[in-house]
Amino acid sequence: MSKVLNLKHDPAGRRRVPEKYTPISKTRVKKLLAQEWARFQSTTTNSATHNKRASKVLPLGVTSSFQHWNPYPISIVSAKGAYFKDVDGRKLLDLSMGFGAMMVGHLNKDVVKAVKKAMRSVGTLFVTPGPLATEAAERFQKRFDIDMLRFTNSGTESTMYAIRAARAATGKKAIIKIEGGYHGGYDPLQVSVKAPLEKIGSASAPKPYHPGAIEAGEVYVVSYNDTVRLEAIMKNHGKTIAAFMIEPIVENLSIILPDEGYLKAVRELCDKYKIALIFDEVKTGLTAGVAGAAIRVGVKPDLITLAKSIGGGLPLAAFGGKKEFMQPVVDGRMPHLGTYNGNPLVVAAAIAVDKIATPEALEKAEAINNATLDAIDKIIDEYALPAHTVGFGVKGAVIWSPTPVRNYRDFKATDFELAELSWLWGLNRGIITPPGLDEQWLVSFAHTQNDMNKLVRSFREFAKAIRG
Amino acid sequence: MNAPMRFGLIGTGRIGQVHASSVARTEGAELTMVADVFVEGAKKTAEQYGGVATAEAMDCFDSSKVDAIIVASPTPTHLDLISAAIDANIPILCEKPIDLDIKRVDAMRDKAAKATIPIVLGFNRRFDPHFNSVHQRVQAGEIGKLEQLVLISRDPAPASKEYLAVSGGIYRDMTIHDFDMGRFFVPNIVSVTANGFNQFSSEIKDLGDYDATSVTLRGANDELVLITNSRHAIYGFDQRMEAFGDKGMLRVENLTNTNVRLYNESSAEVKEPYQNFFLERYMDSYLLELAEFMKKVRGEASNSPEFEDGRAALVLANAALESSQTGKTVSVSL
Ligand SMILES: NC(=O)c1ccc[n+]([C@@H]2O[C@H](COP(=O)([O-])OP(=O)(O)OC[C@H]3O[C@@H](n4cnc5c(N)ncnc54)[C@H](O)[C@@H]3O)[C@@H](O)[C@H]2O)c1
Ligand SMILES: Cc1ncc(COP(=O)(O)O)c(C=O)c1O
Repeated sequence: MSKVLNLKHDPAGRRRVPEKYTPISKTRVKKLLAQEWARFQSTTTNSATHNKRASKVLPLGVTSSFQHWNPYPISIVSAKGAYFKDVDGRKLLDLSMGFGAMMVGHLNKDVVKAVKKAMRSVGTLFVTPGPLATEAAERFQKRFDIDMLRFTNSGTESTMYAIRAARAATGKKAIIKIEGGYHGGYDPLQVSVKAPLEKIGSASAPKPYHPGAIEAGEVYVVSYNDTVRLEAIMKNHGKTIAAFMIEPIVENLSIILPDEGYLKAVRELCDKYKIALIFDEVKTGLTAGVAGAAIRVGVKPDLITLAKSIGGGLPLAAFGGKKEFMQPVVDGRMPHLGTYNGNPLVVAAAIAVDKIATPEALEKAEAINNATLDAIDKIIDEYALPAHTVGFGVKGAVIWSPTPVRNYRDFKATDFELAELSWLWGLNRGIITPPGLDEQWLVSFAHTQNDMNKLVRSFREFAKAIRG
Repeated sequence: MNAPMRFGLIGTGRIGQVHASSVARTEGAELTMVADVFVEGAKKTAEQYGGVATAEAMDCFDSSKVDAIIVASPTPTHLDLISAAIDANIPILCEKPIDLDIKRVDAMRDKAAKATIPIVLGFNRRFDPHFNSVHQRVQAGEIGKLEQLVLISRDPAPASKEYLAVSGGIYRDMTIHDFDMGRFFVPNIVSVTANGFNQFSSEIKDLGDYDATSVTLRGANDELVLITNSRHAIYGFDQRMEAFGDKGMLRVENLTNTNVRLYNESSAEVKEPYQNFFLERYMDSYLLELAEFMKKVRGEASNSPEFEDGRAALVLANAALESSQTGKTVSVSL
């Protein structure tokens, strides 16, 4: 136990576990959950009505299954800066910010200006090349230090094409992914996303879990932060494995930091067994630092996937990397296609984002994030909560476990009832964090310290309430 | 590193000036909006301490301009401004008393309880370093179990007739601070026995008000809180306290500006007169009150008195008035 506590994480991240804690009464949590759900329902009647209507046409009443929760999600009519307005007329502090896609803030004026200008005088779609898309690509090439890239419309497309590029470049087919890792909807990447614990064997040798509708092919899974198993897989199957797909900082299981030296070891293993290393930076990207997580942790992948933060809220994504891994697109071994790829509107937005995502702007948001995490740490100590904080770049999270989370199994062992209550508590008090309990908050360019103080105050009230 | 907390001030009269200067003197705070129906007052204050002047209080309820609001306008405006702050989701520090009418306060009680913003009441005396030190030492057990708290508050001279006419009477205007101080030490009060006196001012008597009073509060554990007030004191602002317990006593005497004493033919150990009035005597407390409010706004641990404390003081004031009029002890449940 104490060994785990002392385990060092990559210094680019921030994690603080409490020295002392006492458990929270389960009956109290249950009572508060009932009370808060009742409060939720009595204050969101218009959202309930809207979900009923929407469910008749959209499965679950939503446009992506992520958006749904029981009994119904909150429906939003508009967003500006750091705030939402919901159909019940409430103003909510948005800390989810489109899973990170809204890093520059809702309706950021520079992004709006750039897109408006493109709509007025450039066009919406050419399906032939144009200087705007090239400029956007050049900017990202420089910023992320990659040789070549292509634009897509979503993270899912980017991860899918990255895997294909790796297959074409290595002449192999199989992949390795992290247990519990999410990389969008492409079949092989749907293996072992939210796998039930009883079906996946031991942590040291996890069994891949294939959900029913998936045709995945040859996929190996490994725990994050585990290089021993990773090497064993590579040693035994390296001849058929094309790529290892990993989020450098796992941001789909709250936030999990790499152990110190882990990513460097991963890089060396991939080199040794001639396996393409793909960093999925759909969630990290600009939220992890001016040049993304890879450069921040000092490990260069062969391919990288980008989405969300680079597009200012518009459907823009990309994949790219070293020349030899993008060569299959050049020579036709892996055609990359798409009608809307790099259309003038999204690349105009991307250029605007690239201009405003300066080191100063990101440092400012990160300072606010760190001050927020500090304030929450104090409350955790004061109330001896069985919880700790993790932060990376402009993102932060409270994890309901007194010990560090290093992989999917650790994550599954955290207290989900407290996580649900904490999320609902904020929601009932005008603060919306992502619904999955596996997400984190984001300090966008629109959030001020005073906005984040709302989260801190709400967390203090929450701490008081669960302590009774 | 962090942007300063931006304040909107509503009301730039006597106490408004104090708050404006406190904000200006506090690191990490700045005045960005100043409202007063008497717009010249707002302009003058803004010129001196910063901010944009306006005649319209509602201009302050804009989260793009302010992060917190201080209300220093007359008492009848307080509840409406608290309500507006809740609607705008902006933390508020509101002067005492919360209102003069408990029915209006109770009508807001539910909304205030559900509010997610800090609603802080301006009971600054809790933050007076002397009284606060007594409180801390009582909490630390230095005098054992607290049995008696004696509060003596006497103003140097009555306020103007116009002020007194709308002040809500001695209990709601003046003793209100002592009710809160009593509750600071003994939060759970169960009964109130009070006597009102007309000793020196026919003006006050004509208004149907008292110029002096004595009040006894009984705590749930049979603690005694004894309050003595007068609207005048020839020797200045009289603000004293004794906390008495089974292991000892803590006592706060009046303050003079300096510690210089005069010795001469006719006297010895003569001090200068006591600090004049609340502006001098409690200057530090307003600064500390602001600092504590800012902690609350930032989500840090804070002991700022809240809406319910404002309400409780008013309930005690009403009970004291009833007791004075009926001659009976009045039970309260806070
Ligand atoms: N905590 C303390 O020690 C303390 C001391 C004095 C007064 N107070 C309280 O502070 C409040 C103000 O007292 P004061 O002595 O400063 O009064 P004051 O008359 O000196 O000042 C009040 C100011 O508010 C302005 N005003 C009136 N209506 C307004 C409105 N609707 N919007 C904006 N401004 C408006 C007036 O023009 C005036 O400038 C009262 O509630 C009083 O009980 C507290
Ligand atoms: C790490 C990661 N990769 C890929 C995706 C898929 O992106 P999209 O939703 O744009 O298809 C996501 C989406 O949340 C993600 O978090």
